[in-house]
Amino acid sequence: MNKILLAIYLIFFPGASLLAQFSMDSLYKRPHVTIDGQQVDALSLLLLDQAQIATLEVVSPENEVGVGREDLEFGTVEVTLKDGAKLLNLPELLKLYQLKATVAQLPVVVAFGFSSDKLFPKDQQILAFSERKVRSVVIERKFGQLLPQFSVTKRQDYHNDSKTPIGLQLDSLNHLFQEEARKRNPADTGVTFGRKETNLEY
Amino acid sequence: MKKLLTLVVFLGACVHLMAQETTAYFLNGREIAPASIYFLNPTDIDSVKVYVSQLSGDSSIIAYTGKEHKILTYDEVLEHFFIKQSAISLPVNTTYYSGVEDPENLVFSIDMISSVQITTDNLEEKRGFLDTDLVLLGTVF
Repeated sequence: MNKILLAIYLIFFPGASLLAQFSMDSLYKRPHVTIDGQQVDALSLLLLDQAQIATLEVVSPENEVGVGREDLEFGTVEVTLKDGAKLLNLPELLKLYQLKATVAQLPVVVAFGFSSDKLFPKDQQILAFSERKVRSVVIERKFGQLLPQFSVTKRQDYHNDSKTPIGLQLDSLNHLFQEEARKRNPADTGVTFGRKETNLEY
Repeated sequence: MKKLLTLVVFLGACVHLMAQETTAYFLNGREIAPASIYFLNPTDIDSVKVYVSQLSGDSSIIAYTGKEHKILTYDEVLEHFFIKQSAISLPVNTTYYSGVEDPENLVFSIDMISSVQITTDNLEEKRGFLDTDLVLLGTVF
């Protein structure tokens, strides 16, 4: 019985989860992202290694020329990779981590910081990953819980990331996702250090 | 009451005998990895026998489960968590026990394992980048 329900879930859940989370709610402020001219999911920015990036250009919403694309409302990020740089897609990531291809049907959660810093991609089929920026993958399947969860955890390079212009731009963009995550997952609020007016959060 | 007594004897014997020279663990007649004791739900254990050699100090703990309790082997856990069998060669750590030497002999109560992580964390210095570890995460009571 459980296997039948799991099969039904695997077939229908990806579409259902998108409908549930991305009816373009007020928290969704992710930019339209392209890498070497190909559209990727915006959360790919969290999992990009700046060492692979040749150029990164942020086009603000007021300078957008596109019409009729909802996500253009929040700007566009155009990334070009250095020669020879290669990104992984979801099936390649699963292969690298020795997971079965079935996992691609599970909803992917991208975890990138504190326990509250987790987001669903809008379209996991076009997620792109730098191999070096993925720290781990986790399959969670608690007893009695029919629906397994799959998460990809970002590697934090607190001491290694150089503060190049591209690195700083990526940090700034990642902050957008952090804000969204903390509003979507308010149960795990971050701790604020320092003076209140500095609004300095770690 | 009988269950509770069995539980106390099992846990007490495990703790006491881990301090001995060598302790072998058996479940339903099969030798299991010592790390398995952290993944076995004591309520699944029906009976326990403890043998201690007077000469060497070596000991054995032999436990039996009832037929109604589902105990998973390591292969079955990989299957349950959608992991390819090729991952069986990865080094294994658990939340309670690092560096499991004989993961193929691990056994699990199904309700005692909540997630499996495949990680490349902090391994660059040790074994070259993108070697992976498999971490079995248990349920914390």
